[in-house]
Amino acid sequence: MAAEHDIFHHVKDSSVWEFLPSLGLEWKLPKLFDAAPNPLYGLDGHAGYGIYLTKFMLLEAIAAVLLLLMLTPVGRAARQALRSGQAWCPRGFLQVLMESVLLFIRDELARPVIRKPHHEEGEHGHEEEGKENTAADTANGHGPHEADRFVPYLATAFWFILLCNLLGLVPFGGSPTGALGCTAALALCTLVIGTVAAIRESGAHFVHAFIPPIDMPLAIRLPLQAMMFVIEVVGLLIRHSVLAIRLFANMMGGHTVLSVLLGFIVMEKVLASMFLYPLVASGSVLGVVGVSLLELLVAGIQAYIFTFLSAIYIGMLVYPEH
Amino acid sequence: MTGYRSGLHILLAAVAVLLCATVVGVSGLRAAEDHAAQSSHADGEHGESHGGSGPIEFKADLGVYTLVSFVILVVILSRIGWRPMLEAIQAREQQVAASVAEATKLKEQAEALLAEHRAKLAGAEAEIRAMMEEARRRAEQLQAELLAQARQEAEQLRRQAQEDIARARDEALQDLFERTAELVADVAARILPRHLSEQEHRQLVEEALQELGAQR
Repeated sequence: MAAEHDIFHHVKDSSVWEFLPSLGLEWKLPKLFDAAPNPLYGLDGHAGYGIYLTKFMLLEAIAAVLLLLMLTPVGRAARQALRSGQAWCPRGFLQVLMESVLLFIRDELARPVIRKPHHEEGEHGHEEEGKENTAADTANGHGPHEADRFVPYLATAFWFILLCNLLGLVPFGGSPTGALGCTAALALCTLVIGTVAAIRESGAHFVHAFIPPIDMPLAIRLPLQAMMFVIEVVGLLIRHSVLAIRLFANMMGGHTVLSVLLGFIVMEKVLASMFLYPLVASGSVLGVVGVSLLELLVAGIQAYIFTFLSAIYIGMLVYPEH
Repeated sequence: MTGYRSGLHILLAAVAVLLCATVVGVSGLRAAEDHAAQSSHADGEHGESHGGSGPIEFKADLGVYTLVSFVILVVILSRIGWRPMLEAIQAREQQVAASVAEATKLKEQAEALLAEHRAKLAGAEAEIRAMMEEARRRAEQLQAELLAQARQEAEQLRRQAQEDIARARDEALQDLFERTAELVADVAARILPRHLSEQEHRQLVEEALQELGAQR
């Protein structure tokens, strides 16, 4: 039981930040305020109930501060270039990194999926053409593309998730994105932004996105459309729930694998055997190195997928296909 | 952009409502389950025992915390970073597009100018050739003219000389005739006053003959 418990213990959020608990190096995080004994708020490691500052909260704050530190000088440079009227040429690693990622999010994620339907006249063959049109629109000074207003959100989501994911690979760190609370909040943001933007875009017609047009007599059409409305709304909610669960499950799963691999070392049988211990220990350390490398990849991919799907879902809400 | 901003305001309002709901829910639950807190307080001492519900658990506190901090992060980052960057990128793109358009225009102009100058150059070459031709023609013409003139002058000189010679000869002949006539007249004058008889005639002839003889 001990091993099984350990597996999730190191993956989950906690109000105790353990560095080397066997040496007593751990940080019991302070209680924010008292709360009722609600199972939602029951937290490990502390006596009593209440809302505690947790390890993941601190890690999210670290990610946010990192992001602020990364972006502030770049934003300053961009603003300076704007003020001087010269073209902004990013200089240095940080500026080039932030600019190229932002451009990627704008041109490859946001603009192709969030756009007015009249841009795409034909089938898939015209997709490239549509893209060129949007690029030409901005180049010709037609003002920003309609997707550009969502780019700040998407860029923040991408970097925040990426940093949260990567913090899980830092020693003594953890991935806040491996907790459902965190990912659900992020998915909720996508849902709210998409809905609000859709209502702003089409007003009351927003609802029509959920009612597919059916060419039938009223008596048949009405119940059908009512049912489809329910299905569409449920689908919308499921879509965004899955958005949260996908990120959460990927991060949690990866860290659980790491935890299980390391857990082999401290199994009682292994610890007791002089022969088994070095074998298992070296094997699982090697395995952990490999899986950690894989996790680096997954961290990037999941941040990308979340951002991309967010853009798609926002696009589906704001500019419905029919 | 303003639409997005007010969208964010609505999002912020939603977050605030959620926060209030959470707080209200918490305090409500506290009142309802106060006794439960005391009964399970002992369990709380070994916090780990009730945390073992597996990894899939939704913690509202982390959710609310994430929501609030993430929204604040989005607002701050848009303001200090993303929006200036997007604007700068857009300005740059417009500048690049304008530069490309300008360069294309200039290139077209340059090409037109080049073609024009090439045509001009070709024209100039033809002109030069024509001018050379003209000059040569003129030189030849001039040469011919001069030659003709010289020839004419020479001819004229020759003719004049001939005329002069002829005139001099005529004059000389005239002079000779005049002098002969004068002599004749003189002779005649001398003869005329003595319109005499035969006798006188004879006498005169004899005189003349004598004169001649005397002269001889």
